[in-house]
Amino acid sequence: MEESTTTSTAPATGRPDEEKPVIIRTRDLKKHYIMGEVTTKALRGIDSEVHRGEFISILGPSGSGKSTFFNMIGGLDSPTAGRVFIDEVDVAQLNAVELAFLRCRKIGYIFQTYNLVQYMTCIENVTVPMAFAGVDPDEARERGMRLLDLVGLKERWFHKPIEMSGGQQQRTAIARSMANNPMILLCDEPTGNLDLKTGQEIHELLVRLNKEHGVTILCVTHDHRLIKLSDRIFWIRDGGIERIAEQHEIQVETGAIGGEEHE
Amino acid sequence: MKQIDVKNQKRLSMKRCFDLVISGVQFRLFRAAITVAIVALAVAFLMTMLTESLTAREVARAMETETAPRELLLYWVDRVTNPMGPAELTDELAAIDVGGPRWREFATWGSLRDEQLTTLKDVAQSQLEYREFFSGLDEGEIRPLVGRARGHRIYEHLQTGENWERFVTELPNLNTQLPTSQAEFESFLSDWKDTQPLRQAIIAGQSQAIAKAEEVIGDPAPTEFFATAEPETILQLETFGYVLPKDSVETIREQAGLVRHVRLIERTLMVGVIKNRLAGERNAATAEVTADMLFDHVDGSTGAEWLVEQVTYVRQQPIEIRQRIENVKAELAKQREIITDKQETLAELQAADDPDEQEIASTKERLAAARQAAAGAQRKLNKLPKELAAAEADAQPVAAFDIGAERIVTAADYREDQKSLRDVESSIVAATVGTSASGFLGFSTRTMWLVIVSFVVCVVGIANAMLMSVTERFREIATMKCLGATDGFIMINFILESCMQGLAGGLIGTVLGLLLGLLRGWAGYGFMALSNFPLSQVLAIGGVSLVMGIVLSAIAAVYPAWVAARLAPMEAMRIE
Repeated sequence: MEESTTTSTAPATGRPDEEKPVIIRTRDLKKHYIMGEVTTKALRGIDSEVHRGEFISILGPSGSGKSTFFNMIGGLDSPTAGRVFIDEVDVAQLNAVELAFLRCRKIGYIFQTYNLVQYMTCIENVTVPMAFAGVDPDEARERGMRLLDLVGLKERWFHKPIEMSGGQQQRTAIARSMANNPMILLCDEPTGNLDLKTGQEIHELLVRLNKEHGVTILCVTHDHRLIKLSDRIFWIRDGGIERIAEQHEIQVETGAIGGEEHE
Repeated sequence: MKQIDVKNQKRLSMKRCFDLVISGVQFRLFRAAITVAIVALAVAFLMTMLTESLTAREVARAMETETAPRELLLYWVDRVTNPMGPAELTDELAAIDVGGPRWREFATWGSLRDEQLTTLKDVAQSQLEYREFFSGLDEGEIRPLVGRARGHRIYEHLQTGENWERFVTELPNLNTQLPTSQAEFESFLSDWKDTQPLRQAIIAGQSQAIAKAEEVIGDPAPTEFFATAEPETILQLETFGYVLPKDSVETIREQAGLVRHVRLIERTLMVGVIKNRLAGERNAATAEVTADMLFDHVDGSTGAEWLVEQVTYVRQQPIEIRQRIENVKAELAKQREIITDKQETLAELQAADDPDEQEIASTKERLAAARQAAAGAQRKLNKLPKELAAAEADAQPVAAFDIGAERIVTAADYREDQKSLRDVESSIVAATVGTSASGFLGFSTRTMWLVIVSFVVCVVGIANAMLMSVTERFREIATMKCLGATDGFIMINFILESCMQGLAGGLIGTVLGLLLGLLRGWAGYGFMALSNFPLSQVLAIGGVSLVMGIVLSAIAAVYPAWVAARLAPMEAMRIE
């Protein structure tokens, strides 16, 4: 039964010419939610590969399973069947503590609602992941300040989240996500709560991190401008990848993107 | 495939956890305050209970020392007047110390040897068991067994074969059983019968001793005797078999003296004059005058001297009146002499050949004056004995009053002490109703139950507050997990937070409970609670209460912390 459900699965590998190593790989990834007697199939078997240094946007209507997919590759949830490899490590094989290690060092998370800890200052928020990684407090502070400098908030290190604008908060969150030099940044609609201009700044920051620091970025978004900046786009629908578009196709199809969305 | 380079996440140092918790608690100060308040209440309750029960115990202990001298006096007054009955004798024998004072007394009174006394002791101890068995039966149960016999007569009753047969037949119908086997009871009965003459000998010897003691003590009450007799006279009691330790004699004399002084002071109120004057001093109506008022008045050198003055005055009255009677009598005699003298002179004058009329007239005049004076004196003389009787009646109650101002003050203080001791005693009785001295920390089952319930309520309250705190922080917790927090860290984080609140609540509660306990102790026992305050013990139980608060908080936090730790990190993605 599970085999038969792999509908509309697009070819997993977009570019066969890749000299860059694969950093995220999913193999027949399935996730079922059992609620009473009804089984909801959120993911019906996804095969995909993401290469190091890529900037990928994930698109899909709500209920398509994109959040589930996102959680799977972020090591936040475990699959019902299939495998997720992050940096060639099978996430399903890891125990809770190892998952915590993975989340702490390999992956950075950026949330739509920033999720800063309200009772901590800017610099304290940035150094929380370093504390979890066991970095010496002095070194953590120094590194935190460098990161704040990178996102342009060096002068505001002592502010608490409520004293900052949404854009500043999101930039703090980005600095925090970069705290332990992760390989992957997972962004969940990073500009969803921001106005156009501030959103633009965040986009530029993300692109810079991608280009200058070589961080692989996966971004769930509806923002056209961000989509234009992506290397590839994954369209997710009904628990599977419907289509993968390359950079050069994006320019042409921009108009169609809006048509794909139903929100 | 590449070798897995994922390691175990590092554990955070306790200090880091602590810092994080502190800043978190500061941020949610109000919720923390609620938790702290709950803990404080529960701990304060425990602390109050503990302090109170400790204070009650200490005060009771102090009471024993305080009342010991008086108890000793009462004991000896009882000893030399009231003979003990068979039941009391059994109690005494069962609890007797080998070679102790009572042992020696019984040996003398019954002319007993040590081994006989040992047998008596054994028999008495068994007898107590059987007594408990028989007194536990109700009328309907005991009647078929032993008929109308009760108390020690039961054992007499069962000596005859016929009665014993009936007892044995009826025994199986009972719900309760003999404390020992039937055979043992039978052998006890024969032992009891064998030793009965010995017990009777003791009681007889005691009666003789009391009779002799009464001769020595004489007419006055035993307290009066103990108060006024010389130690040597009191020690005479020893020759009748009483064993009276020498140091006890001093205590008894002192106590009896104080009791006597109090009584002397009390008796002054029987004198109308003193009562009236006291009423005047205290601005009260004569009918309102009470003994308390009198003692209150004389508790101080001025008042005491005032009383001495009054007593002296009252006692002086009969003497003065008697003096006046003498004077009046002398006057009367003198006037009578004058009368006789004048009568003779008059007769002579009238018998003369040429009576001097002038002389006769003046003599008659004088005679008349003398007669009048004699009649006045006679009238006075008739009235005075009545006055004398009244004064003597007044003086009678204070006839034995032989104490000075200093002693009066001491006696007044003593009476005051005794009164407050009685108050405290009744408080202790009230406080210890239903408590068993052997219970944990002096707690009764009921108190224990209350404390446990308060703890359960406290744990539920804290758990609720912590659960709310966890629910409120779902996103924060999930974010922390995304950033690399382990389940263990989240768990420790919450338990630590709860423990810190527990510590704060425990501290507040301990201090609060201590103050409350002190106040209640003070209300119940007055200054005895403060002067006998078991400080070191209270400090120790303060520590216990504090630890209790922390432990309770930690226990209460386990479930909420577990809920938090189990939270999926993807909750952080949720948008409300």
